[in-house]
Amino acid sequence: MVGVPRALRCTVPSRGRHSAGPAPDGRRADSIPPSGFPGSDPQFSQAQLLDEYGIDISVLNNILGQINFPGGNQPVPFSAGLQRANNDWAMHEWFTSDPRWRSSICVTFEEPDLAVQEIVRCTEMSDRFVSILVSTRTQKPFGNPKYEPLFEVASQLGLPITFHPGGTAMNNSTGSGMPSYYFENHSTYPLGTLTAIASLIFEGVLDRWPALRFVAIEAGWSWAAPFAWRLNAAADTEVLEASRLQRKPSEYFADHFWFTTQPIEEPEDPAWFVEAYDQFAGLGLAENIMYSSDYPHWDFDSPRTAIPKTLPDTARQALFCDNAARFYGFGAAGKDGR
Amino acid sequence: MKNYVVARTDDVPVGGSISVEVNGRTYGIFNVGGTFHALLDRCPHQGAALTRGACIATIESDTPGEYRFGTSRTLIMCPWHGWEFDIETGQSWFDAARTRALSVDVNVERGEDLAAWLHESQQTGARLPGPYIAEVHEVHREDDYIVLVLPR
Amino acid sequence: MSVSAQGLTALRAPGGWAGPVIDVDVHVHVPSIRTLFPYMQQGWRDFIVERAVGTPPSFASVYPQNAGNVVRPEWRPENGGLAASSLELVREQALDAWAVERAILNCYWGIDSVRHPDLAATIARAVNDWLIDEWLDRDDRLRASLVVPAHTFADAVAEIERVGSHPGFVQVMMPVRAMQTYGRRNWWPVYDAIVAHDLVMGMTWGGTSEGPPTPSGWPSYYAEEWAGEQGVFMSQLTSMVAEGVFQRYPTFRLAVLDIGFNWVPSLMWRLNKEWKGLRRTIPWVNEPPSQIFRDHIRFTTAPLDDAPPSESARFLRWLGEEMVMFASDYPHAYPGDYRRFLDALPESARPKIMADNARAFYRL
Repeated sequence: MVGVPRALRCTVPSRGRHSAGPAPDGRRADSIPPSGFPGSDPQFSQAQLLDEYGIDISVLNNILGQINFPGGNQPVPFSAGLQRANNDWAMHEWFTSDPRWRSSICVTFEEPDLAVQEIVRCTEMSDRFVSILVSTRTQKPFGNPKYEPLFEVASQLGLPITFHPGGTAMNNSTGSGMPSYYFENHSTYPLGTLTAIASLIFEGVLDRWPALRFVAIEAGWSWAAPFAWRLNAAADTEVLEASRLQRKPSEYFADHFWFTTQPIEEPEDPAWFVEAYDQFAGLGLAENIMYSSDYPHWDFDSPRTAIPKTLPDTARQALFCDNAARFYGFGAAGKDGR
Repeated sequence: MKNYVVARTDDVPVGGSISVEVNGRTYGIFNVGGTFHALLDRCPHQGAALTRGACIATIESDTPGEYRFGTSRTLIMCPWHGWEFDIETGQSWFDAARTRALSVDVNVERGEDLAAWLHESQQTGARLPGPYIAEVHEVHREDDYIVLVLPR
Repeated sequence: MSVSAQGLTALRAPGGWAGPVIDVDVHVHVPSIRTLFPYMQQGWRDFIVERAVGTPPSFASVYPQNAGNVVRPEWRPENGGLAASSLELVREQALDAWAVERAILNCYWGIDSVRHPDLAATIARAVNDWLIDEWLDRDDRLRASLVVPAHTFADAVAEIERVGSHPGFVQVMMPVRAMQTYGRRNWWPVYDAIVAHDLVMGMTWGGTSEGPPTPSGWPSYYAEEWAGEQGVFMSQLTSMVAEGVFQRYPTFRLAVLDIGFNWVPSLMWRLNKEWKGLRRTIPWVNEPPSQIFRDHIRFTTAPLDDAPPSESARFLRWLGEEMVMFASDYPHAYPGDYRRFLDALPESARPKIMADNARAFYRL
């Protein structure tokens, strides 16, 4: 079987985050390598993920920097050094271990000028660094002018920006305070992406930087169409603010926002999955959905079983392979086996 | 039905499990308080090996802040998404009261069949079909051996 | 798409909806703080004058009166006064315009942004007494939410105790932004009072929290903030489900107002999925979140957003016909053509949306 999964996480041994998943530190209980830390052993991950499922390319997201050390509440040079070390680890231990690995670039995104330096350093080091990793929870909504240097470098280098849950302790994860339970925390993952999309649109970022592309990880995708329509309603009524935009909000989605599948939608009636997909595709987003595993986390989606077989073959082929191949420029797509 | 000797009783201590392969399928043998149970070692959700998960006790509650902890470890927790299954019946714990559709052998790969079954079950009032039940098999001990009973 | 009154006032035009209408969200506004003087002790009137206290600040930030969606142009009073500020206005422009059987008034006046606990309690009492005098006692069609001071829970309880038995009050207004997530146990005394008086909790637009409304800080633009407010509602519903509010209070009723319903199925599916794996960590949640939603929570039609009517109909089908109640959200200016929306629905759904669901849920 071929496919181009992404959103695999690898981590250095870390003190863990707001966790309480079924396994240590939110990982699959069966993903513990001899070293003891899930996602820390390239060969173990390769065997359990790439080889097991016949995966052609996998993009690593090392979320240590954004989860535990968000670029605040610690010295800035230390944060920068930590992200440099993360990226060097990917370069010298993961890329060398297997040709199928790619990686996001870990950066101190709240210090955009430092982040730009690290992005440039990594892309000069290897073309296997394929995106810029940012948290779904940032100090300001991501369209804020603060992040302009990142828009510029991403546009110049043609790198997408990836939103991954977790991150800054600067803001509560809900508008009314911090959640009590891991269930709540995990369920709030889409909110940061929702916020970022509204911000990027209304701040005019996508007009100024038409080449910018974003990937939403672990956010789901079935809320995208209704949210696009809500953004349109906002623009319809707030004419003064919307008049600065070149397009209707929903029209930005196809060119700028990509979504990953994990955790895959599980509607009450399985038949609604295809309806929801068709609704999503109806917004021009059939090419904007990409398979992700979230290996080695507990809510991992197996490429064999997670994506409903009721989805037409053409959609499965696009989702498993072609969309990501095109998006990241991975070259010729393979065929979708079963 | 055929009997397969799959392990020695010593191989599966109380509270533990092993995974055995018979005719290309993998089965989990569980020891709950000295009694052996067998499930297909495959979570009906996405296919994880149930034996890689932990045997756990029940946790129930009727109101926030109150907990009823079970004393014996009668559930297996899927190592992936954490679904709890009663080892003896294969019943998923979140669905305990609702489904009695054990006669349907639902295999996760047959997505179309599942969708049709769900529609039908909604018409008839039966709720929550097969994917919420782990596949149970008969197992018993003969002297020092564990015997798995399979259709063929 | 233009923002027009046609959608609502055309509701009753020939060929439109001829059946009963219950409007569960009609906003009314206090004209000024002096309006409330008859309902306060002299000492508080003096305090307000001495300290130049005006309209609570979050009223203006939550509903900036000149923002495009806050007041429809044709509903602005000709004399330049505040919209929706008198019964005469509201009768003409809303109650009679779509010939309601019943309407539920929601007077969001930003009391949550009054930090002074006693001033907040005084204003809340006055608003409730004003609602009784000027609205509930003057038009049989009207019911209302009572307002409470949000920061001191004991004061909120006291106010529910004071007026919660008035037959006109069917709901307690709890703005969606709050000092703590609404699932938390600290709210239990307030919920005890709500349930004891058999009232609905109305989760409305607005509120004041300790921090920004998004996980990524403060939005820059009103349109951006308005669109993203959906996230605040999502997190509050998640909290109430997770913390077992609906298990502790099996008769609890929650109305989620002013935020539409298109977004709800996606959230329900996610919560169901999360719950199947994390049930042990919140063991009191002994049924799927979607079931909790259906048993305890209702949403409103407004805003319909920019969804094509066939898609709104799809969201309703996924959610369930009993789950949504008609709300004009007068005097807001939301896009959405109600005629086309109703036409897209199965015939069986129309009377439910327009009246029956509200009549059952609010026991009108």
